[in-house]
Amino acid sequence: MSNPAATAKMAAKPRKSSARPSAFKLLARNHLALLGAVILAGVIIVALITPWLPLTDPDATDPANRLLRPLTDGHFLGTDHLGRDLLSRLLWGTRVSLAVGISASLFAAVFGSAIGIISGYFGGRTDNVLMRGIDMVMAFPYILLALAIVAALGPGLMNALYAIAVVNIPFFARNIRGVTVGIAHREFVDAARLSGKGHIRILLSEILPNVMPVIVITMSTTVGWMILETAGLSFLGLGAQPPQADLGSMLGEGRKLITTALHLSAIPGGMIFLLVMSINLLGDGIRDVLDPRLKSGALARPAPVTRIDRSKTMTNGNVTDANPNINSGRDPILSVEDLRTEFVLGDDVYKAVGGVSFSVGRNECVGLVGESGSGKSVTALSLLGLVASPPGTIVGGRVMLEGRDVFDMRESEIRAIRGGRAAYVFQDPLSTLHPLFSVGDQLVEAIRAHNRVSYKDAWAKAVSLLRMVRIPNPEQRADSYPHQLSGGMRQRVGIAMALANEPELIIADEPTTALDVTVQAQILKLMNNLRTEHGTSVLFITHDFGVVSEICDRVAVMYAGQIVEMGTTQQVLQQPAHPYTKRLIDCVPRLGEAKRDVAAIPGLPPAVNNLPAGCAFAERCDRADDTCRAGAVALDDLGAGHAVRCLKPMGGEDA
Amino acid sequence: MPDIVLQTRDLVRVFGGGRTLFMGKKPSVYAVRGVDIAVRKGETLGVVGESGCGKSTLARMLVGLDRPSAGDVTVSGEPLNDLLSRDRHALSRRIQYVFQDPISSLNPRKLIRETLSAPLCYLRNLSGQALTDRLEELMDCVNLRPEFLDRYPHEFSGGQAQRVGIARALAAEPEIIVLDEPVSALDVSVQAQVLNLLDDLKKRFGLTYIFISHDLSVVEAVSDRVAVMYFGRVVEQAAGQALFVAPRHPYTRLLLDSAPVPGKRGLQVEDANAELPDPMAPPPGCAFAPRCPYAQNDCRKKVPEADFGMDNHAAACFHPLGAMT
Amino acid sequence: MHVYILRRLVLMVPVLFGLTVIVFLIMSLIPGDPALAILGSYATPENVAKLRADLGLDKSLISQYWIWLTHMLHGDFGRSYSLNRPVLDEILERFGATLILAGTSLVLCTILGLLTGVVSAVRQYGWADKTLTFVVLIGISVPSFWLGLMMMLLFAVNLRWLPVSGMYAIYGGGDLPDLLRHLVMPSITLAVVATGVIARLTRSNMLEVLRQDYIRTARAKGLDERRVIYRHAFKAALVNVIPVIGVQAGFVLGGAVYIETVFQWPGIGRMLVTAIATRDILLVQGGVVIVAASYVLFNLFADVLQHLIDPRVKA
Repeated sequence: MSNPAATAKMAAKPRKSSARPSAFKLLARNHLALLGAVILAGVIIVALITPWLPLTDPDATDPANRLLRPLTDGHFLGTDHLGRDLLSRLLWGTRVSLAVGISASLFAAVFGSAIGIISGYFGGRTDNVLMRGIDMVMAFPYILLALAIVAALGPGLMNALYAIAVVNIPFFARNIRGVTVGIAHREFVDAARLSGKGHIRILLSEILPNVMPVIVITMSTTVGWMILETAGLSFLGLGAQPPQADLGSMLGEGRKLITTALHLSAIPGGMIFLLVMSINLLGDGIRDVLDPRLKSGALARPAPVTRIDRSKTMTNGNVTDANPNINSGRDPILSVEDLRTEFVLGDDVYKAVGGVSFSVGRNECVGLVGESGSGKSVTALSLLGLVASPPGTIVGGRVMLEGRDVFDMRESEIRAIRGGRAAYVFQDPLSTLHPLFSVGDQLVEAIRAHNRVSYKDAWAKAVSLLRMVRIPNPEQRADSYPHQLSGGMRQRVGIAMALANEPELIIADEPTTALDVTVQAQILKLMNNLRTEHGTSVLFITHDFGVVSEICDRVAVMYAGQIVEMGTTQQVLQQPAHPYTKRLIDCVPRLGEAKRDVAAIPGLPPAVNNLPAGCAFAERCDRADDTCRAGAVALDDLGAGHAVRCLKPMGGEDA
Repeated sequence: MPDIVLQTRDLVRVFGGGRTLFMGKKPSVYAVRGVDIAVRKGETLGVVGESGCGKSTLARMLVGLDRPSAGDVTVSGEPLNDLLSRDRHALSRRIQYVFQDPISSLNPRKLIRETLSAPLCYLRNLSGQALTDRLEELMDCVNLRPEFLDRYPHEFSGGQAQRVGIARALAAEPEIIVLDEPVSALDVSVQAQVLNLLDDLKKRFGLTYIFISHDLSVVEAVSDRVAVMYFGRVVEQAAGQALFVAPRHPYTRLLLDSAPVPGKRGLQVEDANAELPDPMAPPPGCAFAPRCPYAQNDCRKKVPEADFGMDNHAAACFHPLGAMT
Repeated sequence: MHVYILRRLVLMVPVLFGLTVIVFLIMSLIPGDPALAILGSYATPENVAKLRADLGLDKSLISQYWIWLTHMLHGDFGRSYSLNRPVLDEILERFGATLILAGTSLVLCTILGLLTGVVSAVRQYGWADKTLTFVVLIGISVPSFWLGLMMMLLFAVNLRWLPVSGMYAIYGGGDLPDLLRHLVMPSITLAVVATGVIARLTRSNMLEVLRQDYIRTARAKGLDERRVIYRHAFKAALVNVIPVIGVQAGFVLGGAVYIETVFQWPGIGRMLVTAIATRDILLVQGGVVIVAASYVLFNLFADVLQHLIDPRVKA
């Protein structure tokens, strides 16, 4: 659940299908791409109808009217040194350049992609031989190889086409191979194999459709180049031979008269530029549409602090909990009030966190439990504004840390708290540690971000932190990079980093989920010890009630962006009041109780961009009736710090 | 024993190896280092172990997605290699596989109908109306509405996608299904739905399961017999609850002690920060010895063997637990 | 580290070998009889046969290759028939000029490309980003030889700020300032496309990296944004950009062919164009082999740099 945006989307999957705008719509929305498409379409249409246009013969010389300026009567763009009509030559030349560029591109795409797919799919020796060959070709500077080929075949338009196409094959082969390797190892390819499909069927019907977008993207970026390169060869006199002309050879001829007749080189050059530019604009648009990472408006730079816009929530009619601070009575160091975080993706608003209130007392460990999409991780990240934004926005609530609202602070103040008074431990320590810095260096950074100490002193402190989280040989390990450590060791580094500035609060977002059970047990023990030794408070996000029992004093259970039950670990686990809590506990097989029936919860959690008016769990609940569905349900205080968001809580019957 | 439908003998899988272009030996990784398991018709064999213990490699070898480096697999007495050489579909008609990640086991660019039709066409030679009927029947088996056939995988939740994955396996009408962590990618509330479905299907079609998981409690809940794997070997195997009640191998003990249980506090944690042994250079003795509180000198010299029969409780350990306690 | 460089040097040998094979094979594609081409159509059959024997053309393709390769390893690239001097002498004379031009361009495009990319990413969707993105788009779309012509016309012919062409002024030139004045237009023109490619790649990689979990970790540590961007994000982005700079070196070396032609720069590129036109095959072969080999060497350098930055890269 490292990516809250992805989580929000996942929850929405079951019913959102028509909401995805079609590729063409997306393309049309991109104005620059549209402009490119229009220009390109115009050029292509003109090139296609050129033979039927009332033009003079492009090769008809007329020495009497040589070197006429543009806008002369009868010669709209003037004439060249042999008196040939430039407009006619330009259109015919464009036709040739386009045809050559597109054919070369198709040629390279077909052969390159075939090599790439075969190489990537079969791997092993086939891959080795093909790719070494490709490497050899790539060892040549791009145009040089084309020159060598033209030198061998002799100047000429077709030979230039072959040369440019051959030179581009490696580019396709490399790209497509990379993508194919990724796809060939996906499970659906194995599944197809087990379904009785042979290699050829798998290549054509499983791999190719998935590689196709990349082929199209690669083509859209190379067509422009190829037109440029063929024009270049013609410019050098190695491509189109007189009297045939393409844009490049026209420019080459015009070059000799550049000081006397500028239009002879400016016009064909400008045409190449216009053509390539429109292709590139369109290509960028196509890439943006086809690249899945760009689809959700991602690849926007996340701001250092989540966008905060609390203007809307002041007036809306949502039920806010009158007394949010149902807590242990311990003096709270963190108190969250009616926190709301939303993601805007396209036209949809995902209410990932819809009014969450809780507090964490001094030296207390509070568990935040829920399934994926319940909003628990987004809640944790919202506390110090670490939700990626765009697309995330904090739209309401307060986070009180030591009497001040974090969302009212300046960026520099929030930064001082991050890793200082409150520190995070994340789920997957491989992706959350920087791969290119040694772990010692990353610890030093954390220390020096909050203290004015020398690098040397900070390094000594880093080593002692590593020793504190019981990493063997901390002096040597400080020099290792994250990829050199095992998962458990990496998470210890993550914890050491959180401890760097003796925080009062550690926010741990599923810190053991990616680990094996034996390692998880070690990490839990470590965190428990550190908590007792240093008096740190912990907010522990997890989906596992077993882990909760092990480490948490109090628990809040989240469902569809809200806390549905809160209480001491014992209250919630022994006498769950919310039907969801009860069923969530019961649906997990328990070690040592093999013969207990695991009672599944029917249905799925609601999508957070389409929440029901009433209780979000009502659809899956066997106790629900119409009153549950009627309107928002408030958090009800059951006394002794136990609270539940349910109109029909489970009574003492299970006690 | 005629009722044994699947058996492996000293199965080994080594990745890498060979030589590089210039002299130097390429490192080889020992993923599976001699596994003997046997499965009876109609039972569920649970295989449990942590990441890197070789359980997925074992699973892939059982269905023919990967070839063993040594040892052999027999299906109802027939060697797997014979089956594969006779007809490349013969094995897939008898053993099927359910993948861990339900979404990525479905081609994102294909309708569920196309994905499910493949095994019916190629393995069962169905077409036309028979194919359509069978598709709807399959969807019904896994409790999905037939209109879901004309949707794309991205429109499914994890649990629904895993049902499709199970339907795909069922389509081949296999005797055995290898389930490789079938619920670990799913949310807890959905896990139970899938586990219950698997149980129903097993009863209904008389299936045999090999259920692979890292989760002890799930394995305990579904298995008739359980094998525990560590570092490419089976270290303990027992029928019923015996292994959970009285584990013999210290590693099994450690696993059981490490699993947090709701409502209980106070995990027993091993003290040493021992790491897994290096798979490129397996130790000469018991792979667990460096972490084992009971390890003695003999453990580090020789690999302990065990006679894993069918229903006996055996541990590959020189000093098994429970001998005196 | 030394071991790594040594290994890469050893691995270069088969690449260079393959390179010569490809060049040789391409040249053997030439239709017609080279001996006939040299002697012209009035040659007697005896003369042709004698020349064929002299050139080794009567031997098998493999032994022809072997003779060519061993001669080349001894520094004998053959004799250019159009210039009537040893190929190697001609190449060595011109290679320096190409290196100066391509090297300057490569430095220019690397610095400008990285700078533009980072600024664009950091100011994403701001006016600076929009402007730069547009300029970069123009840069990668414009034919460099045309841009060169237009610049020449503007700055040299009309404004007379810079010399029109050549490497040194014919009278009184030859010093460094003179060289630099001659270098300005060709090196900029040659760098334009590569700058655009590097800038685009840097921008998209920066944006990609900035979404990674470890950037969130860096922020969660309380690092200030400058450090997050210029230390954490830039280093990670650089790892992906360096190989492309290596590829751009190839584009620059190849693009030099156009620019040298436009600006009359006395480098290998212009030599090749003339050699192709006069079908002086030995000169083409030699030139291509030397330029390609220097490109391979540069890529080795890029690999080593990559290895220095990224600890995950294994030999």
